[in-house]
Amino acid sequence: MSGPILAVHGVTKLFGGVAAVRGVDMTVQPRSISAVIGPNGAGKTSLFNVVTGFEEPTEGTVRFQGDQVTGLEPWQVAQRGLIRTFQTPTGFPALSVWENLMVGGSRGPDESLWAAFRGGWQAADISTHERARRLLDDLGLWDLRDTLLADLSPGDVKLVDFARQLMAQPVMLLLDEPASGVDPGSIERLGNLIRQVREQGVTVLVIDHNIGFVLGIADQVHVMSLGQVIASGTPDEVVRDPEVIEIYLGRSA
Amino acid sequence: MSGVLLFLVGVLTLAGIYAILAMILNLEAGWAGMWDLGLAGLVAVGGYVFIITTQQTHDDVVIAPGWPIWAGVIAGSVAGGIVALVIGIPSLRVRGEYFLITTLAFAEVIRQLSINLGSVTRGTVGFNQFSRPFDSWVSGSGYRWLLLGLVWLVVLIVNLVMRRLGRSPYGRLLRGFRDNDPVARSLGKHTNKHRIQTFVFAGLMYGAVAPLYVWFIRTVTPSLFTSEVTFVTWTALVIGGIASMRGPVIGALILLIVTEAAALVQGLGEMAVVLASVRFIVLGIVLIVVMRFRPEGLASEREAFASASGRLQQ
Repeated sequence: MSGPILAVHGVTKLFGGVAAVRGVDMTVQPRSISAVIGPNGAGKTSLFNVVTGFEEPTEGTVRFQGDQVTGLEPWQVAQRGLIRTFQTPTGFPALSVWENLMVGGSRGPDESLWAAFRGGWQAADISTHERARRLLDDLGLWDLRDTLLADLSPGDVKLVDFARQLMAQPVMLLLDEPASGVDPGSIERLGNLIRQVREQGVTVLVIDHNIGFVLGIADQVHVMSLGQVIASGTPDEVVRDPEVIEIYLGRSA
Repeated sequence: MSGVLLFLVGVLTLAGIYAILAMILNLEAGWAGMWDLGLAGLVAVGGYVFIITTQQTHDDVVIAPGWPIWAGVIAGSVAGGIVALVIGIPSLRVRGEYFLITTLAFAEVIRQLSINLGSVTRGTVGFNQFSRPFDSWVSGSGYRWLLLGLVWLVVLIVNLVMRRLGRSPYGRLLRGFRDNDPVARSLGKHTNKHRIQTFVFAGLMYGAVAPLYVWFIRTVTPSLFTSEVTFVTWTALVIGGIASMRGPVIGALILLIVTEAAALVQGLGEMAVVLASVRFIVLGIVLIVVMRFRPEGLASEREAFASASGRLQQ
């Protein structure tokens, strides 16, 4: 398939009279790592919510792999392979790290009430377990596998969030501030893992405040401010954009 | 002496019945997070459908097909499932407290219907003559022992079923989306479908075990299915440990033994009214003590599902 994997066209999201997102157009190329940066309140997370079906856009459309996904339920969007993470460290607190990943990696038929009665899900669980083990190894979390998420530090929860969503085998992964609260050593590991995920053919779109982290991994950067995209380009182009400099550094005296 | 023994048999039978109800409640509320305050209504549906379809001694009711006992149990179960589906579809769409209010209101509707649909339910008089399974095999007091065995056999079966469900990917998913629905949906899980399935399954189970309660009490009247049934079940579950594995059985045993022990004080006719209210005081004290010193309940979810990753490789 040629052309963009994700195409956001004219998306506006109003909350009451306030526009969180205003007429955003954005395309993402397959197998790329793209980033959306911008100050707090720029509309980055609202854009994610619209793309993944958690919010219905007031105007505009979202196409994923050529199909319109606007108006679909979040679980329907996710089943098409568009998987997101959340900004706040979250997940399933009463489940262990390992169980969190197993939920992410399990498929519908194995999770039905009927399958629980009948059995037969064990084979799938064992292969899911293998994937979970490798991923937890890569993130240095294997020793914490039986710890409940509720007992983990927020930074470790962030890493588990990333791993759990990855277990769902996304075609495209939307990461909402994956590095916030993660300790510096793990950030580097996270960055490597994101690159590795891209090598495996997954498209990545990431929001983060950590500009160094984002510019280090992204091929393409979109800068948002007050609900609009004000600049798009490679990291080098974007950091030289006067408007971007003004937003991030303020007008120099 | 044998009077005390038969009384104890009765307490243990009732504890077993509440253990079963608490295990079903644990599935829907403890694991799936659906706080059902109307389980008495589902038990009532099962109990009434059972008695209406099987009884042959009351000929003043308009529906009396006189089915065999096994068919009545199935009919009660199916009715419980259908009613759960009818309540579940509208109320599970909006979550949390709406489900709580809807189920509570539903139980009251069922109770009012059982009072006012006299031509079907015999109103407040109810049914008091009906045959119970294996009735002809044993006589009088022997039947209490038989019922005790039957109830605890069902406790064992339901417990095995819940173990199987709780440790499956299905149980894992329920305990996941209970605490975080958006993350589950972001993984492609149709969480509302799972909720409705679980609630309907709970309805089928409540309906299926309702006849045990009916056989124990030996009458079917609207007053059998008041919200007291719901709240005793909830208290048993919370004391035993919500979302745990053994908690519902432990909680029901402790709660029923402690509250019914008051009735063991014999021969004080004038104290009967006082003793009846003492039950609720004792229930409250047990609940407060457990919540103060062990808020997760006597058995906990944490222990029940500890080191899940190791269990897979066995």
